[in-house]
Amino acid sequence: MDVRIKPRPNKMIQSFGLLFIICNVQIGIGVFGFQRYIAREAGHDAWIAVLLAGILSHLSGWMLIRVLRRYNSADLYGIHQDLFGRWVGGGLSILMMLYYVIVTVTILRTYIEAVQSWIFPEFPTWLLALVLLFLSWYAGISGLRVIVGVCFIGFCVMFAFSTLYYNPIQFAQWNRLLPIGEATPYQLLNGAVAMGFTLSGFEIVTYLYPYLNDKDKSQKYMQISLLLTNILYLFIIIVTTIFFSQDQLLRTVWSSLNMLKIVKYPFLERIEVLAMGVWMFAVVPGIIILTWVISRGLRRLFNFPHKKVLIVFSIFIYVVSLVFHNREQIDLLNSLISKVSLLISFVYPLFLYVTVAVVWWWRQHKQKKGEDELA
Amino acid sequence: MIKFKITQIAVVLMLVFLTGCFHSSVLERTSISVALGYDKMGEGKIQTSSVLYGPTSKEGKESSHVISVVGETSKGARQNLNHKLAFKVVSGQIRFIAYESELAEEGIISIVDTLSRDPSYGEMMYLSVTEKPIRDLFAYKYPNISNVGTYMSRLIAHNIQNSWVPSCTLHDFRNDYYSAGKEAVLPLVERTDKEVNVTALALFKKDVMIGKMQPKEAVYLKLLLDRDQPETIEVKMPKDGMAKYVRKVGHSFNYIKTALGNIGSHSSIKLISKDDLTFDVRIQLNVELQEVSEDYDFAEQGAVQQLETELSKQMSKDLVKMLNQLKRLNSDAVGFGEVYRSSVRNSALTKDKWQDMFQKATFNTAVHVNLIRTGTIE
Repeated sequence: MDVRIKPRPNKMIQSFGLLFIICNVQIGIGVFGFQRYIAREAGHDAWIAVLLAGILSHLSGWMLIRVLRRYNSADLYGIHQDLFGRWVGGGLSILMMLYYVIVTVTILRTYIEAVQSWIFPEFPTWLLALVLLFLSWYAGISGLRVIVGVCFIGFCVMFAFSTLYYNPIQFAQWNRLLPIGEATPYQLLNGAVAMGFTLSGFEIVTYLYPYLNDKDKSQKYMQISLLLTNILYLFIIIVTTIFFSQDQLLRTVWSSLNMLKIVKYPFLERIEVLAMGVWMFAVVPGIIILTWVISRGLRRLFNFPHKKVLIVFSIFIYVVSLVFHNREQIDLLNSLISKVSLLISFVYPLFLYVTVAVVWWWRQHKQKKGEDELA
Repeated sequence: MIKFKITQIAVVLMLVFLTGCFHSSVLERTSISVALGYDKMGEGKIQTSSVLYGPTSKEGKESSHVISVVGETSKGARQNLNHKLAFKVVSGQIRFIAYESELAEEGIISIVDTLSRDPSYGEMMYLSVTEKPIRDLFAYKYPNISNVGTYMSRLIAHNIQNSWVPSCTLHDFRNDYYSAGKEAVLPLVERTDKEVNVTALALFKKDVMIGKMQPKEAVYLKLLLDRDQPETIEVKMPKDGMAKYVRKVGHSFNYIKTALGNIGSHSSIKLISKDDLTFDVRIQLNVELQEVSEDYDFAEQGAVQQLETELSKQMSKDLVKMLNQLKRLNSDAVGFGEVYRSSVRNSALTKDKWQDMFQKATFNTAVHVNLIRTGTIE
């Protein structure tokens, strides 16, 4: 396996596309109910915790792009091999792929669970999973450019729907935000940790980087997309805090949907049902990208053909997602994955950044030494 | 190319034929419930009454019918409704829910939470309390009301918008119940002969109804609470300083009664001493005079100012009366606790803690009335 890959120009995308992909991976089903996990830790200062986690994500994203810049045109699978050798590096890559399998299952299952509790209680899990995975497979085999297109739709849907949160503001009690900064730094930190899973996903850029046409703009669009996500999350957490009373929020599983329950139009009384359905456009791109990343990995490591892998792999995810039956299991899955995602999105980039810096310094040092000896 | 077309056609056909394959609710084959009422029936049993849409008559008049069943839990009773109906009950159109006061005096949060747990209910339906059994209110054949369920929700909605009833949706009730420093209020509705009306407010302590508040005081509560403000306020005050502006009339009088149109009010509550729990309660009102009981001479110098001061004085007194009633019942319907929580750092306020503290709270009230105009005549 080569460390660096040179995709054909007709497969490449503009850095601008990062905007849609990153936002879509970050904002998925999590946005429906992330608030109470943060409020449980940081109370009415939850927004500070969200802000804190957001700043950390900017830092983490910056480090990732710096690492990728050094390699010029490599993805994380290549970087692993370069840094840790074939076996250890490959092992790390496989771990990463396993992680994405679990994340995909989590997203899929959480969305289905939400649909079942909100709209169709008897809707069979297998049917919806089949539909969603078929969609993701269909987009996945068509290549990255189509994926960006799907992400664009998802992006528009998400930001269009967030304007609906203007309505709950009318019912707001602003003094719920006061007194500002009552939570201790420890509580805020816990809140930020709880935010980790919701924000995670942006490390996907490490697999997309070789496919970017104008790589010098990647940092800019990376930061803009992180900023957009953070603004959206900050907005939603503030609206949630002023809309719900504290205990009420802690009891609400899907607070974002609950807030839409008060939106009422003469021609459409229950907009949250619509939101739930349309949100599929925000959930599917996430699944598409993750499955794409995994099948890329299988291609890179084992040289499996992309298209065949994708279908085998979709079936695999389908089977795994049917294992889960009730909310308890899904909650367990979520809490498990949230801790790992924290490692992968926030700790691992730092580790990578430092390792790459050290290794490259060492290589240059050795090279220089060699040149000196020759001279 | 041909292959591509076949795929397209297949997708379109699928969209057409598979839509609605799953879980359809045909309007004619559902029993649409528009209002629910809960009565207490002996030991631990709940009677649920439901107003359902009936068939529309030939003249296009909508009708309704009411059925009641008894069950151990509210949800169980609702399931039992199906025993009496030809079609399955659907609850998405329920706009009005009433609890008998006997039930409300024992606590209703479990029934309220049940409603919120089920996503098929809306969050904006109105809750209220009745003093007499609800079945009596629902089942009565009103000559002028075709569907008492929708009528009730409209009645409450417009009273929230224009009158002294504070917003009483399911969301509001749960919001207040689960907040540390505020108690819920619901309107009391009653059937008096051939009509239904909103008679007073039911005050709550947690989820237990503990008292009533009359409309006269409720106006002031509403002024302190909501985005929507009451449209008219009636003030009755002693004639004192105003007597000289009244043109001589035959009869003797002690009080001047006025009706004020509210064209914009603003209220603020501030905590000024956290040790003595002193709150500053201010209401600023812009009003126009709609009615005055005596022949008041507005043309005279100082007459309007005098009326403004007297109004402010009287309203401030009434406001204190309302606040004292809340204190006596220990039901913080205004939300002073929330003000306290948001102004005192690390208060760690809980509902129980605030209930002990609220008794000791004192209020400085100030009402400022600004008489903008006196209608189209002086």
